[in-house]
Amino acid sequence: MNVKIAGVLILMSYILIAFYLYPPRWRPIDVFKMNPNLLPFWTKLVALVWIFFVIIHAYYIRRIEWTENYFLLVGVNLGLVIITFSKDNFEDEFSMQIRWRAMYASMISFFVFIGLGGSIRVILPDSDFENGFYYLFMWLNAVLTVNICYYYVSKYKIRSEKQFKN
Amino acid sequence: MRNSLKIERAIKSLTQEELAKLIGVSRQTINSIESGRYIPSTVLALKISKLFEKPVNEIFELEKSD
Repeated sequence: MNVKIAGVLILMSYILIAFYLYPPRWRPIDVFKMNPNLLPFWTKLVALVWIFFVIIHAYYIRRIEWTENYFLLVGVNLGLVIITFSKDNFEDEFSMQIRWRAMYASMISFFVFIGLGGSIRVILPDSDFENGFYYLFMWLNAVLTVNICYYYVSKYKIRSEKQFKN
Repeated sequence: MRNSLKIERAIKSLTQEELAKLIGVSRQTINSIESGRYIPSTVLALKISKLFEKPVNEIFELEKSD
Protein backbone atom coordinates (compact mmCIF):
# COMPACT_ATOMS: atom_id res chain seq x y z
CA MET A 1 0.00 0.00 0.00
CA ASN A 2 1.22 3.45 -0.86
CA VAL A 3 2.27 5.09 2.39
CA LYS A 4 0.72 8.43 1.37
CA ILE A 5 -2.68 6.81 0.75
CA ALA A 6 -2.34 5.05 4.08
CA GLY A 7 -1.55 8.44 5.64
CA VAL A 8 -4.74 9.96 4.22
CA LEU A 9 -6.76 6.97 5.48
CA ILE A 10 -5.23 7.34 8.92
CA LEU A 11 -6.02 11.07 8.96
CA MET A 12 -9.64 10.40 7.95
CA SER A 13 -9.90 7.71 10.62
CA TYR A 14 -8.70 10.17 13.28
CA ILE A 15 -11.28 12.76 12.17
CA LEU A 16 -14.10 10.18 12.14
CA ILE A 17 -13.10 8.85 15.55
CA ALA A 18 -12.90 12.39 16.95
CA PHE A 19 -16.42 13.18 15.68
CA TYR A 20 -17.73 9.88 17.03
CA LEU A 21 -16.15 10.30 20.47
CA TYR A 22 -16.76 14.03 20.66
CA PRO A 23 -20.01 14.75 18.79
CA PRO A 24 -21.05 18.36 18.04
CA ARG A 25 -23.76 18.39 20.74
CA TRP A 26 -20.96 18.42 23.32
CA ARG A 27 -19.41 21.63 22.02
CA PRO A 28 -20.82 23.85 24.80
CA ILE A 29 -18.28 22.48 27.24
CA ASP A 30 -20.04 20.80 30.13
CA VAL A 31 -18.64 17.50 31.31
CA PHE A 32 -21.93 16.61 32.97
CA LYS A 33 -23.65 16.64 29.59
CA MET A 34 -21.03 14.33 28.15
CA ASN A 35 -22.17 10.75 27.89
CA PRO A 36 -19.13 8.78 26.78
CA ASN A 37 -19.65 7.69 23.23
CA LEU A 38 -17.30 4.74 22.94
CA LEU A 39 -16.61 2.89 19.72
CA PRO A 40 -18.23 -0.55 19.27
CA PHE A 41 -16.44 -3.64 20.58
CA TRP A 42 -15.59 -5.01 17.11
CA THR A 43 -13.38 -1.98 16.42
CA LYS A 44 -11.02 -3.32 19.09
CA LEU A 45 -10.43 -6.44 17.01
CA VAL A 46 -9.96 -4.36 13.85
CA ALA A 47 -7.43 -2.20 15.73
CA LEU A 48 -5.47 -5.27 16.83
CA VAL A 49 -5.27 -6.55 13.25
CA TRP A 50 -4.29 -3.03 12.11
CA ILE A 51 -1.45 -2.76 14.67
CA PHE A 52 -0.21 -6.18 13.63
CA PHE A 53 -0.29 -5.12 9.97
CA VAL A 54 1.54 -1.84 10.64
CA ILE A 55 4.32 -3.59 12.56
CA ILE A 56 4.69 -6.32 9.95
CA HIS A 57 4.65 -3.70 7.19
CA ALA A 58 7.31 -1.61 8.88
CA TYR A 59 9.56 -4.49 9.78
CA TYR A 60 9.30 -7.01 6.95
CA ILE A 61 7.89 -5.27 3.89
CA ARG A 62 9.40 -1.81 3.82
CA ARG A 63 12.37 -2.59 6.05
CA ILE A 64 12.56 1.04 7.07
CA GLU A 65 14.43 2.32 10.08
CA TRP A 66 12.65 1.95 13.37
CA THR A 67 13.53 5.54 14.13
CA GLU A 68 11.82 8.33 12.18
CA ASN A 69 9.20 5.91 10.94
CA TYR A 70 6.06 8.01 11.25
CA PHE A 71 3.83 5.46 9.54
CA LEU A 72 4.66 2.94 12.23
CA LEU A 73 4.19 5.48 15.03
CA VAL A 74 0.94 6.96 13.74
CA GLY A 75 -0.39 3.55 12.75
CA VAL A 76 0.28 2.08 16.18
CA ASN A 77 -1.13 5.23 17.80
CA LEU A 78 -4.37 4.94 15.82
CA GLY A 79 -4.74 1.31 16.87
CA LEU A 80 -4.05 2.10 20.52
CA VAL A 81 -6.52 5.02 20.49
CA ILE A 82 -9.23 2.73 19.07
CA ILE A 83 -8.52 0.03 21.69
CA THR A 84 -8.59 2.65 24.46
CA PHE A 85 -11.84 4.26 23.35
CA SER A 86 -13.85 1.20 22.39
CA LYS A 87 -16.38 -0.71 24.43
CA ASP A 88 -15.67 -3.98 26.15
CA ASN A 89 -17.64 -7.09 25.21
CA PHE A 90 -19.70 -6.41 28.36
CA GLU A 91 -19.85 -2.74 29.15
CA ASP A 92 -21.28 -1.45 32.41
CA GLU A 93 -20.58 1.33 34.92
CA PHE A 94 -17.82 -0.67 36.60
CA SER A 95 -15.85 -1.18 33.39
CA MET A 96 -16.26 2.56 32.73
CA GLN A 97 -14.92 3.27 36.21
CA ILE A 98 -11.87 1.03 35.59
CA ARG A 99 -11.33 2.78 32.25
CA TRP A 100 -11.30 6.28 33.79
CA ARG A 101 -9.02 5.18 36.61
CA ALA A 102 -6.62 3.53 34.17
CA MET A 103 -6.59 6.74 32.14
CA TYR A 104 -5.87 8.80 35.25
CA ALA A 105 -2.96 6.52 36.16
CA SER A 106 -1.56 6.59 32.64
CA MET A 107 -1.86 10.40 32.43
CA ILE A 108 0.40 10.62 35.47
CA SER A 109 2.96 8.49 33.64
CA PHE A 110 2.66 10.92 30.71
CA PHE A 111 3.45 13.92 32.92
CA VAL A 112 6.40 12.02 34.37
CA PHE A 113 7.70 11.22 30.86
CA ILE A 114 7.30 14.84 29.73
CA GLY A 115 8.83 16.24 32.93
CA LEU A 116 11.73 13.83 32.70
CA GLY A 117 12.42 14.64 29.06
CA GLY A 118 12.10 18.38 29.56
CA SER A 119 14.29 18.52 32.63
CA ILE A 120 17.04 16.38 31.05
CA ARG A 121 17.06 18.88 28.19
CA VAL A 122 17.39 21.77 30.69
CA ILE A 123 20.11 20.08 32.76
CA LEU A 124 22.06 18.80 29.75
CA PRO A 125 21.28 21.13 26.83
CA ASP A 126 23.86 19.46 24.61
CA SER A 127 22.65 15.95 25.29
CA ASP A 128 21.48 13.66 22.52
CA PHE A 129 18.14 13.44 24.24
CA GLU A 130 15.61 14.47 21.63
CA ASN A 131 12.41 16.31 22.51
CA GLY A 132 10.96 16.43 19.03
CA PHE A 133 7.51 15.49 17.79
CA TYR A 134 8.69 11.97 17.05
CA TYR A 135 9.59 11.32 20.68
CA LEU A 136 6.38 12.91 21.88
CA PHE A 137 4.55 10.40 19.71
CA MET A 138 6.59 7.58 21.17
CA TRP A 139 5.66 8.70 24.67
CA LEU A 140 2.02 9.00 23.72
CA ASN A 141 2.07 5.43 22.47
CA ALA A 142 3.81 4.36 25.66
CA VAL A 143 1.13 6.12 27.74
CA LEU A 144 -1.69 4.51 25.76
CA THR A 145 -0.01 1.13 26.23
CA VAL A 146 0.29 1.78 29.98
CA ASN A 147 -3.40 2.74 30.02
CA ILE A 148 -4.47 -0.44 28.20
CA CYS A 149 -2.27 -2.55 30.51
CA TYR A 150 -3.77 -0.93 33.63
CA TYR A 151 -7.26 -1.57 32.30
CA TYR A 152 -6.83 -5.20 31.34
CA VAL A 153 -4.62 -6.17 34.29
CA SER A 154 -7.23 -4.71 36.67
CA LYS A 155 -10.03 -6.52 34.87
CA TYR A 156 -8.07 -9.77 34.81
CA LYS A 157 -7.31 -9.52 38.54
CA ILE A 158 -10.96 -8.96 39.39
CA ARG A 159 -12.07 -11.74 37.08
CA SER A 160 -9.64 -14.23 38.57
CA GLU A 161 -10.82 -13.55 42.11
CA LYS A 162 -12.77 -16.28 43.82
CA GLN A 163 -16.47 -16.17 43.06
CA PHE A 164 -18.56 -15.79 46.21
CA LYS A 165 -21.42 -18.22 46.03
CA ASN A 166 -24.13 -18.73 48.61
CA MET B 1 -19.07 1.91 52.82
CA ARG B 2 -20.30 -1.45 54.08
CA ASN B 3 -22.88 -3.51 52.31
CA SER B 4 -24.89 -6.65 52.95
CA LEU B 5 -25.19 -7.65 49.31
CA LYS B 6 -23.63 -11.05 49.88
CA ILE B 7 -26.10 -11.82 52.67
CA GLU B 8 -29.08 -10.57 50.66
CA ARG B 9 -27.95 -12.66 47.75
CA ALA B 10 -27.63 -15.73 49.97
CA ILE B 11 -31.16 -15.17 51.32
CA LYS B 12 -32.52 -15.17 47.78
CA SER B 13 -30.24 -18.09 46.81
CA LEU B 14 -28.70 -16.18 43.94
CA THR B 15 -25.21 -16.59 42.56
CA GLN B 16 -23.21 -13.53 41.56
CA GLU B 17 -23.78 -14.42 37.94
CA GLU B 18 -27.55 -14.62 38.39
CA LEU B 19 -27.72 -11.36 40.29
CA ALA B 20 -25.55 -9.68 37.67
CA LYS B 21 -27.90 -10.81 34.91
CA LEU B 22 -30.95 -9.59 36.81
CA ILE B 23 -29.62 -6.06 37.16
CA GLY B 24 -27.72 -5.90 33.88
CA VAL B 25 -24.11 -5.73 35.03
CA SER B 26 -21.13 -8.10 34.91
CA ARG B 27 -20.26 -10.64 37.58
CA GLN B 28 -17.06 -8.71 38.25
CA THR B 29 -19.17 -5.70 39.19
CA ILE B 30 -21.10 -7.70 41.79
CA ASN B 31 -17.90 -9.26 43.09
CA SER B 32 -16.28 -5.83 43.42
CA ILE B 33 -19.29 -4.36 45.23
CA GLU B 34 -19.36 -7.27 47.68
CA SER B 35 -15.64 -7.01 48.38
CA GLY B 36 -16.03 -3.25 48.98
CA ARG B 37 -13.69 -2.35 46.15
CA TYR B 38 -16.38 -0.61 44.17
CA ILE B 39 -19.15 1.71 45.35
CA PRO B 40 -22.07 1.47 42.93
CA SER B 41 -23.83 4.47 41.42
CA THR B 42 -27.17 5.57 42.86
CA VAL B 43 -28.94 4.01 39.87
CA LEU B 44 -27.32 0.64 40.45
CA ALA B 45 -27.89 0.83 44.21
CA LEU B 46 -31.58 1.55 43.58
CA LYS B 47 -31.83 -1.38 41.17
CA ILE B 48 -30.31 -3.64 43.83
CA SER B 49 -32.65 -2.34 46.53
CA LYS B 50 -35.66 -2.83 44.24
CA LEU B 51 -34.62 -6.40 43.50
CA PHE B 52 -34.19 -7.28 47.17
CA GLU B 53 -37.26 -5.24 48.15
CA LYS B 54 -35.35 -3.38 50.81
CA PRO B 55 -34.43 0.30 51.27
CA VAL B 56 -31.00 1.24 49.94
CA ASN B 57 -29.69 2.14 53.38
CA GLU B 58 -30.48 -1.35 54.66
CA ILE B 59 -28.16 -2.83 52.05
CA PHE B 60 -25.55 -0.07 51.89
CA GLU B 61 -24.33 1.54 55.09
CA LEU B 62 -21.91 4.36 55.75
CA GLU B 63 -18.85 3.66 57.87
CA LYS B 64 -17.17 6.09 60.28
CA SER B 65 -14.41 6.72 57.78
CA ASP B 66 -16.90 7.82 55.07
